[in-house]
Amino acid sequence: MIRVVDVSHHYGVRPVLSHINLEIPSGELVVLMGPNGAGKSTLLGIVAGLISPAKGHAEINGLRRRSSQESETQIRRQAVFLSDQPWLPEFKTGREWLMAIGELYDVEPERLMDHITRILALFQLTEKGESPIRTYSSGQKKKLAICGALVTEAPILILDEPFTGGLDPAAILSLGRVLKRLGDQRDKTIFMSSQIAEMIEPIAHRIAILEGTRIKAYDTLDGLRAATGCTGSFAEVVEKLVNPQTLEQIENYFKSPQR
Amino acid sequence: MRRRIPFHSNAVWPPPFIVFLFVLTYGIFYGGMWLILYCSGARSDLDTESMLGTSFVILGAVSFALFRLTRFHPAFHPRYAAWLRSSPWTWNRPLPLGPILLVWQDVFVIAVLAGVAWCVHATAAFVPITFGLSYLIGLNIAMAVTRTWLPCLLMAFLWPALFLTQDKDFPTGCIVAGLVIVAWAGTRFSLRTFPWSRNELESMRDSAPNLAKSLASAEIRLPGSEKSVWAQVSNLGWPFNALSPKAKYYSIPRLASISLSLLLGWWVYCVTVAFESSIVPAAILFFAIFAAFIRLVLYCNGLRTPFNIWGRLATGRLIIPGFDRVFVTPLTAIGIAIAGGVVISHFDPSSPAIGAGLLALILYILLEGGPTMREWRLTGSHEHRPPTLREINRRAFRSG
Repeated sequence: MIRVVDVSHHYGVRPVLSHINLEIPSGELVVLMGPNGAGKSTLLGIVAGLISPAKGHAEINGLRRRSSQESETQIRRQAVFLSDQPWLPEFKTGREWLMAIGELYDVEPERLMDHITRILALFQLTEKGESPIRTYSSGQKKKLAICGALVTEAPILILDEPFTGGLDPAAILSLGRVLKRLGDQRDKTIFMSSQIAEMIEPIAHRIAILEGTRIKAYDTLDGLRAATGCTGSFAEVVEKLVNPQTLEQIENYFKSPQR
Repeated sequence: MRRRIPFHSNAVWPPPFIVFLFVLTYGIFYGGMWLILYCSGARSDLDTESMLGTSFVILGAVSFALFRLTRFHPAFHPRYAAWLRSSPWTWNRPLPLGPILLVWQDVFVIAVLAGVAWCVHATAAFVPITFGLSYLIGLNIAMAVTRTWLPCLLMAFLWPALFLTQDKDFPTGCIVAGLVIVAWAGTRFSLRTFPWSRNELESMRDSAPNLAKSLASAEIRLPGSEKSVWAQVSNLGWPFNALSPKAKYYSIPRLASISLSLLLGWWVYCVTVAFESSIVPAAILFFAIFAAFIRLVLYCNGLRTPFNIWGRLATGRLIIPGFDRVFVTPLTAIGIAIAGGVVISHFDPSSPAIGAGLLALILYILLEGGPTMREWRLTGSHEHRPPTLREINRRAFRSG
């Protein structure tokens, strides 16, 4: 379980998050959505342990982040974070790097090697996996970073914009299906951010909408539909929640200027 | 009856090619000098000529000492160490490539060099002295590499004592004898503890990547080696490094902090006394600021404050205890340097003991003062900073 308790944060004098409270039960896949600059990455960074919030705290499986050396180490063994802009060691091969990441999380070597072979095949990196990472395209690097997060077999995955970063359509579909399968496992908890409503709809158990430094809505898909009174697609529900003035603004944009 | 040939008869001698190179260079120097003087008809500048010629012989003696250590000591020869590890060799048997400690064949080489020096420069004493000092320093370094700490520290404490006894033959002789005995015993002890811990090589690689990478990499290739892929890929990228569950942090045991601080104080004291100078308060303050800065850089590398100074002013949270605790120890050290400077100025500015003691105390505080690196990295209220493009490029080159 992930808990965010009364978290507030600001960069300089600009507030980013105000009194955020969130509870993600074990075995659920929760997606964080919101406009650009709403603080999604900051909130994920706080949960992942990269950022210490100005106020409040995050808890993972009952352990408070950064409260003690032992608890922090224990949390790090249980949770893995995928940044929206990961950086990978350029001169190592993809397979070497994945082996290193797996060993870091104490995955049993034989299972790890088998897992790596399968996951590289899934993301069409079997051949590329033997080449140094510097030869990868940005999309391939993103795929490899996703593979890195998955081979850890960590029970808690925190993923920042996993569908972006140059992934090809096949990889997006594969990732969506993998996340769906993982999300259905009771021992996996996934907290991720994404802007792609179509990808989220089939996989998310709950959706949190972050806007103007606060959580505007946090519910299941059906709950959000009911709350907005929108019977259309999920994209429309999101539109209504994240930017209700979109249609009006589009009309304004295409309105002919008065001469 | 077949006579028993002493082990490693002449393995310790430098390779013929090196000897030839040395003789050739030496010959070219003197031949060239003779030619210049002969053609120009000028008088020989004996002082300059002698000085340069002496430099050649000194270089020869130092090179031979380095050759003796790097060729035969497994601590300086990683592939040899790796091979030795897989062999049935034990410490009480002769080393296969040749002995680390000096044998009579070494005396022959030194005697030849000393003979050359005596013939050309009418003095020979500097040859064995230079060789001996270089060799002992090398053994001291080897003990540090192999973590044979007690003899290593004993030698490090004995070295500066030579400054104190420079004009007195008997005490100097005693100290040199002490150095030789400790070096001999320490080297034997370090060989006894072979194979040296793998973790030592890894930690060395983290702190001095270029030096230790080769040491560690030689071992990775060994069949049956338990070195993990994780250990080979020391840099796992962002954000895996920052959030690694197995991240290693610098940590200095208390005994090491005490030893290093005392060592610094002792060296400073001996040098100050030997040169009849004093430790001015400004020097102490400079040291404190410099060392405090180094500590801060090590602690805050890759981290930043959760919000900047404007954020602090705007929110009225001028102090963030979880972050600002990193400044406490450096500021304490600087404060002690200032207070100590005042005391020295008022009471006894010429006493090297007080100045040296103060430096030792400052270093001890900086090494031992909290929070520990591990505690700070895991529990501090900071933000992990993603690497900049420049850092990424630098790391990419390093990890290659």
